[in-house]
Amino acid sequence: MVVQGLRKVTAGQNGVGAFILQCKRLDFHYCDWAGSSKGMNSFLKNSLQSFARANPQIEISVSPRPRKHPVVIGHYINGREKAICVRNLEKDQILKKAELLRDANGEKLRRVVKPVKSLNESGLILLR
Amino acid sequence: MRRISRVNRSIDLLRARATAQTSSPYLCLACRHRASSFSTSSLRSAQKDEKVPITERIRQRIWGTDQPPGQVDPYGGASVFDKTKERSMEKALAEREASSSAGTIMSPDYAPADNWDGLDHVGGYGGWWKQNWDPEHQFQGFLPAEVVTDPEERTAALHRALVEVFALKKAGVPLQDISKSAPGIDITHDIQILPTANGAVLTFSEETSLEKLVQSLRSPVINETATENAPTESEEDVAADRSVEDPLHPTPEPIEETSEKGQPTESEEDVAADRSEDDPLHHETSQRTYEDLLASWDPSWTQVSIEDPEVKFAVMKRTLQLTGARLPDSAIRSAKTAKGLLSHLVAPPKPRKVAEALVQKEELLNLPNVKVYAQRITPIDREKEVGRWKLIEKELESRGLPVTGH
Repeated sequence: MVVQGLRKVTAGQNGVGAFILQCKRLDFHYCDWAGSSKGMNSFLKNSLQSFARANPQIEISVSPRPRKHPVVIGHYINGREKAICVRNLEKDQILKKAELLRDANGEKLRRVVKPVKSLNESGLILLR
Repeated sequence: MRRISRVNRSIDLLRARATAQTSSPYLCLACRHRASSFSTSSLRSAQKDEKVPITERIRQRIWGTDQPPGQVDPYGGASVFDKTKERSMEKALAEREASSSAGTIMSPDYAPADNWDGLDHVGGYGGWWKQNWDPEHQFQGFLPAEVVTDPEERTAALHRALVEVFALKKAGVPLQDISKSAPGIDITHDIQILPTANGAVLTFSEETSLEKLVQSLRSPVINETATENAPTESEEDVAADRSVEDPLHPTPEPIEETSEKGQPTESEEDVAADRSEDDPLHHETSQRTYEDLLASWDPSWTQVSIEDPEVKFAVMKRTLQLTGARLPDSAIRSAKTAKGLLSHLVAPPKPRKVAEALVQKEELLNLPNVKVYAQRITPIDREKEVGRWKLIEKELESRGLPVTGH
């Protein structure tokens, strides 16, 4: 009897079909009075709307934090959070920081030296 | 032994001179020689003629006389400016003396005054304080004392200004007369204004006419006209009116006035309430009035052209006088119709807080993933969000701990 292979139902694309953004929430804090929040206030008034519309999977909350520098805090599905102080930054620079937080995975920043990264230590299981 | 005779040296001469000029009354020769040793410093006795400056002494030595010829002191004396000043002062003094000698002839019945009664006053403020700060002469500004903020009231004011300006234009009266007197009672409520190709056309009701309107604008309106319209008003009403509003700027609200006058037997409490600035009933009535008023006009009145600069200026000036609302020059310049002015007149004030600005953005708030908070989010808020705060509060109370947070 001739050996037959199992017929493939779906093409494995390694997570492409079910991509989940790691960032789940972004908090924008500003101060009404302080000058360091000038760019942040401008960002909230002008750029936030398009940013929020382009990223519907991220929950966005805007709240004042009087007498403090403006800050953007990203919350991630691994339970960690990242905060970036955006004092004295312009509107466009803040948008870049928000995109950076959106694209981050929430892990600590590490130097990547190996070409392959796996949760499983054994290479044999990787072959499975 | 032969004695060597001492040659008189120059230094000895000096010494001898010094001893000769010693001011002490008497000293023996030996003591004198011992005491007066040679010194290079100037002798004290030389200070006697101290007044003579060194330059003068040098000149005396050069010329060999005590009174050398030439200028006494080339470096001293007054400067050119001082000399000129001195000369002019001398001249003025001479003139004064000449004039006083001429005017010293006094009348025989002259007696010097003991007090200032009857003397002429020179300078001072005169009757200025009386004219300007006396309560009888209150300052009447062009703008009303309080700026009208209600958008509907502003709209009504603009409508009134438009109607009045076009009425004056139709009657051939110069437009600058419009703001000469304080605004009286508004009789333009029932007048419709509609845009035409070359300006606007006015439609009058039975009670009003063009002559009546122009007459009301040309004659200065005083408060007496308001009281004449309502001869049966009670003393309380007069008091209430006087306290609430500036009598010279009566608000154009005839309906509200009649509603007030419908209660002649109002009690003391009502009068007190009327006197207070923010009477809720009062406000409500005026609100309703203006809403009805705006609805009663043909909506096309906002399309009336104000491109004629004279008309535009007159309308702006009258609106300013009625409302006290100033518009930026750019808005006035760009406005082509009444609508252009109206959009700036009734524009909401600029938000002072970011949250207020964001609340005005409907699109942002409608996004399902965006939440805007006007207050700081506290840890208590976070606990409340997940429904944990009630439990925490209960536990804190059961342990007798203070229920606080930040």
